[in-house]
Amino acid sequence: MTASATASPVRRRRGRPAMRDGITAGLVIRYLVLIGTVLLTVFPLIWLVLTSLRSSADIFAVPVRVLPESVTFNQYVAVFSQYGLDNYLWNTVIVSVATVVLVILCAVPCAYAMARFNLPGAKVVVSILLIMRMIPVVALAIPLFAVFASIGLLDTLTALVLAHTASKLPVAIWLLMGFIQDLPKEIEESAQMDGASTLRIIVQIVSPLIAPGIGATAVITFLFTWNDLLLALTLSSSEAAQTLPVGLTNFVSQFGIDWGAMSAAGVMMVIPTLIFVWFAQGLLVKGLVTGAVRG
Amino acid sequence: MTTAARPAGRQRRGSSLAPSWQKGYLLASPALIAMIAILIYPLGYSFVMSFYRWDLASPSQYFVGLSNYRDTFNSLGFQQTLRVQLIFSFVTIAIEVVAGIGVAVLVNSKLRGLKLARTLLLVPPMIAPAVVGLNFRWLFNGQYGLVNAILRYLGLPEAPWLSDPNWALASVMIADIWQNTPLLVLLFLAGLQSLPQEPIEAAQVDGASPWGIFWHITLPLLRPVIMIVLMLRIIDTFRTFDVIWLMTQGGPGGATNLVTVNAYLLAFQSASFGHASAVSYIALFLSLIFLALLYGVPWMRRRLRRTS
Amino acid sequence: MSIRLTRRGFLGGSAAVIGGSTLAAPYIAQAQNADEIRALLITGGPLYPKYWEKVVADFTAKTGIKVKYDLLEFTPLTTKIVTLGAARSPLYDVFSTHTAQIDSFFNYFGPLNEYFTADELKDFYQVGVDYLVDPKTKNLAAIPRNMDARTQYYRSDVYAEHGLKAAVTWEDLVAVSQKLTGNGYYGLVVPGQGDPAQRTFSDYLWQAGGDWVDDQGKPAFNAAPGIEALTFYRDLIQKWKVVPPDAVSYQWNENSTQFSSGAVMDTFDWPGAFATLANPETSKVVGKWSTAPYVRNKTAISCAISHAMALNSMSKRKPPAVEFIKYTVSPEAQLLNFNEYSNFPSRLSVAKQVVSEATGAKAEWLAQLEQTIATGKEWPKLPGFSRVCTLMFSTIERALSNQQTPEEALNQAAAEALQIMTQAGAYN
Repeated sequence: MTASATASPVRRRRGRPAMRDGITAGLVIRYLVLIGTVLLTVFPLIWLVLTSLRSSADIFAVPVRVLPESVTFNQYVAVFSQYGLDNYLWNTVIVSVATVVLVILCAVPCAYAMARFNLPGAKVVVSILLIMRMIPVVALAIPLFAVFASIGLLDTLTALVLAHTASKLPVAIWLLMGFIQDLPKEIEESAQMDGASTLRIIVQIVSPLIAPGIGATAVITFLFTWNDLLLALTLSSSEAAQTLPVGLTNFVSQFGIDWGAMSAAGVMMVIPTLIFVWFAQGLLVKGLVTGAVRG
Repeated sequence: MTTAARPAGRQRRGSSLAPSWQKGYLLASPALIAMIAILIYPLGYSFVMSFYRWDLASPSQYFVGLSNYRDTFNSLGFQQTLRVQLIFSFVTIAIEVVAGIGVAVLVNSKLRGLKLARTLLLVPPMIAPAVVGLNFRWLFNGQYGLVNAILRYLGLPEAPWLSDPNWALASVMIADIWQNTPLLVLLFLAGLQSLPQEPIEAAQVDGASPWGIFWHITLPLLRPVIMIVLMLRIIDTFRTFDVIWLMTQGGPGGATNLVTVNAYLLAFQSASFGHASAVSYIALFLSLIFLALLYGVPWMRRRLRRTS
Repeated sequence: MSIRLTRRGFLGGSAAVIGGSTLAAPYIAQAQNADEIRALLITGGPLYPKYWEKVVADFTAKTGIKVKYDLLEFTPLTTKIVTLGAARSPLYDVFSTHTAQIDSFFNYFGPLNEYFTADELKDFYQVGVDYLVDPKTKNLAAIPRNMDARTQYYRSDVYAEHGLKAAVTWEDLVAVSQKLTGNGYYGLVVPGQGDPAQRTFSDYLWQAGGDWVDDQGKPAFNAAPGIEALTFYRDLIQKWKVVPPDAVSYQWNENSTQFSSGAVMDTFDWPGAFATLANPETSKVVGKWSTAPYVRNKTAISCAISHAMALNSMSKRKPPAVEFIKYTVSPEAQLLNFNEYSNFPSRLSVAKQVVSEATGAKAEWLAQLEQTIATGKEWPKLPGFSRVCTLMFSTIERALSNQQTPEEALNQAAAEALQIMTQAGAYN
């Protein structure tokens, strides 16, 4: 299996006539499975949205009401006014964007070097990349905490960006290598003969050609950084560096879990994911499939 | 590696800027330096620390050999963790893979709305596990949760979702299955669409039953994708943390205490960093063992078949 | 976007960014707070942040010392200090801490006996101070800010309706709770997870006449009183079913919410609940509850612990940090803490004052609280005991959720506890 094979869908309409018998029953089952899967998939999310639109009294109603008695946006107001969500949101945006920029800046030349240069020890590096992918994040969080504490970086956004950049690099390099290897070498070689420097080749020739790959890598890196809980939980202790997932854990207070506000925060947290899924679906699937298949 | 197969002579024919390994490493250096400093060095540090006594009670760290590993295997908490982890990994992976293949095979035809469905299926795997955990904790809430409300409405007995040890394990597995199965459906769909159509069509012409086609043709052809998916899921179930942390924090009574949660609690609740490092490396070794089984067993069987 | 960025000299750029930020950040971080102290303080509920805002503002107005503080809930706070301590981090100068986990921090917190005279310490509750002393070095690791002890909060309206009185003994508690359980309501709520579960078991252990360790400091909680205590605790949930079945997953927050939402008729809660239950923003049962002493069995002992303030031994700004600590435990701050948030003072003089000023239900409650503190205890602060605590969390949870019998669970835990404490040097 290669990435290019999966990316180009092979439509299989030719088999149609042979399938004609049993088409109705089969088709009904297929549609039922499809609808059932979709319902199961979206239902918990709809419940999250519904909870976020309820008043607190409505949330603790017995018996449970499926639809809110009246729709209110008070919970969304509360997460900003009472829980300071704007700060978490801002921190998360900074960390995610900075991580994506650093990861792409470092990963593209590295992936290019790995894919195109006869590097001695490249195989070792690549297998280390793969093992890095397997290590539980907690194994990294423990020593990183100690290291950052000793250089006074604890509880800063810098620490989070560095930690995320390093931990997302292996996957990013791995993904980009795949895209670069799928490029025909001739264009680079002719550019080389024209006297273009390697740097120019990467920037002006390779990067535009693997733009979908860079896009996919960027989106995946962004979302995994955006979603991370464990690194942020260990490396931050204050509003200065806490991100949204850590903020979510703060809704569990000594005097009750504020489910309404928490759901509102959860919805806010999911919005970028929905945006990327909707507008960059192709890139995401490509990245995930390529990453998985090559992984 | 395509580069490895490249004839050495061809490189030299290039311009004066022919790729040299020094330049290659220069290009790779920002990424390599970042990974060495922030990834490999700390990981090595914690690996070494797994052989040291390192906690708050004893400010000086000293070498204790394999003692942390021995304590870990002897402790009741870890034995429970191991059991829970194996159940969690085995059950979730089995259900996710079977459901993933099943749904993918069934919807892999020209269905109306498939494109929209694929977009929606991408949502659960991409949203934050922390949100998934909180949302399922709310759904499974005993008094105000929707799931019990539905059970009540249907006249069925309510379930102690998060308070009973077995139900709690089931609850976190349901959350994990909800989040990851859609991704597997998408991966299997991609796999199915890249399969050669000829064998399937030939079998259809011969009048083979759909089940027979699936079992004897599609599934064997899908084997490489299944192997990769299994590998990914094994790695990831041994890394699961966020969902559990927000749903149960490993409770009740350690019933959902997966290895990473166990390591986190040891480090950040008991301040026993040496033990925590040992546990996180045991988690890594365990997933390596399973990967070795996954790839080693079929390989062994093939060799045996060849020799016999 | 990312593509355009790669065009701008990525190689040098990225190396410079990584190198630069790594090198510069610590200096920036240090430069920012050279003229102020940093404190990591406890919060909980919607009211607590306002308390710290006021205390810090008053302190700065008085002394000119700026305090930059961060707030965390009890459990994340403990976790965070544990990690900061393991890394010997000087990030914060002052910490909010608590008796419960103080032994984790004996090596990290600076001794406060250098800054408080014996006379000054005499004004603090003895039981509060005692458990903050490192038994090995005799150093005072923290200074009590307010006393924590639990009293019974019950629904006086519902009790009156049924002609019931607040439970005094364990038997009463079961009998009364059984009468009030039904139709989705429960007679009682207890927490059943983590530190709250250990706290609850600990109270029952003492009430059954037992203790955590024997005279040699060896684990003794698996003797008959321990088994009796854990069996009673489990039976409340599993046998008599007078507690919501979800209780095994409750910590303090869920426990308090069950009572303040009106779903449960009786609970044992901390002093802060007196203020939250009277506040319509946080309680649905305003005016419908009353207080009573904690229940008793063979003895009437429950915990008397304290929220405390501690100094980071790695701090580079110890004098202003100590000044802040002294202010937070001053009579002025303690009065504010009591009047607005009903947190009970740790100073005898302040306690005396608030008790003498109180009337009616508040006076009754304060008398009950004083009584609890007078007879109260805390679990031992021996080396390794903080790890035993985390072991106990899951041990108790296993028994409460019927995964093991109380006897099995406690025996196994005692064996492991002995090993942990021996390893930690408790018996050297």
